Amino acid sequence: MKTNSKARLRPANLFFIELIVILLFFSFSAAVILGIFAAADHRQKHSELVENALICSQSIAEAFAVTGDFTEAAEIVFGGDAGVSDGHIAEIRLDDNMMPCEDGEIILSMLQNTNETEAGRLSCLEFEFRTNKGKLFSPVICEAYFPTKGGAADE
Amino acid sequence: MNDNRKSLFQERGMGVGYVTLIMLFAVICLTVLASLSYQAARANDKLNEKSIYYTSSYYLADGIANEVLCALDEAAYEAHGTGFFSDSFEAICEEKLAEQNDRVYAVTPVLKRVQEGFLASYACPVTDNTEISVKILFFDTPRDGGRYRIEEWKTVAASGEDSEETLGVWDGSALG
Repeated sequence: MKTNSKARLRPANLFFIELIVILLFFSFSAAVILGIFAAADHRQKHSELVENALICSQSIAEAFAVTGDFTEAAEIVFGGDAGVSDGHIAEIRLDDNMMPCEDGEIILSMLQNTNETEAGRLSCLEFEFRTNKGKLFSPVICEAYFPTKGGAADE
Repeated sequence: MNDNRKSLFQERGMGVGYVTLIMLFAVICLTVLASLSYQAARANDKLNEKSIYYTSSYYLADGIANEVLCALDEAAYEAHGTGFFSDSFEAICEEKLAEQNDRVYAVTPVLKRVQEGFLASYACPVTDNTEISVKILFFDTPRDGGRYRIEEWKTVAASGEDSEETLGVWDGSALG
């Protein structure tokens, strides 16, 4: 009996008991911490995607302000291979770097309205970026006015 | 002597408590790093939200400014057609703006008679602190190949804010 209790209290045994308890605690902590790292990584990637989409949306809006036509604006921003045909509605699939790609996960939807009067033409473009999971951000609306001949004077 | 030391080491093992301290240090370091990286991602996300809000608001305000310009130019076009531009422009402007939607109608451009024609000034709010300030000169008679000339189209601090106010900083004079 005495020999058994002595063996149980030996420091080497205590060390192993401590090691097991610590490993359990560490594995639990690591699971939580890795979860936080994963969440941060996911959030960062989503943030980068939104940032790219935002820069792209500014480029489209500026190109539209110059041309007043979303087909031409898409050509300026994405190059000639954007695959946007004439019309009022268009959808372009983009990859993570906002370049046209048939298998892209991001969808850019554009809708154009044009109001022509004798004095000029007011074009309105509404566009949004979305993924399969939902919108990246709320639609952006931009407009451009082009007077008929004799409208704006040279500055 | 040697036997005694050997037995002492065997008795003590690697020492109880050291591993706990090392593990606690590692867990604290990992927790700090994880929370910092999450905070950085969240801050980036918030910044993006603000950028999105500002960009959307800016293009919306710019669109409204364009709509007002369109209405004013239509009025100028019609006023030139009547042959009495100076007399009819203001009245036609009011008519044209009343036909527009509420957000355009709310802009209310101020028309001021100047030597060359009418100077239309209006501001479209972008955010609480900024607005797009527009000044367009509509000619009495079309000149330089146009009915109007854009004199100003820029983003400025909202007129409600007193940006001229200076901070009360120390001017270098002796204290006391």
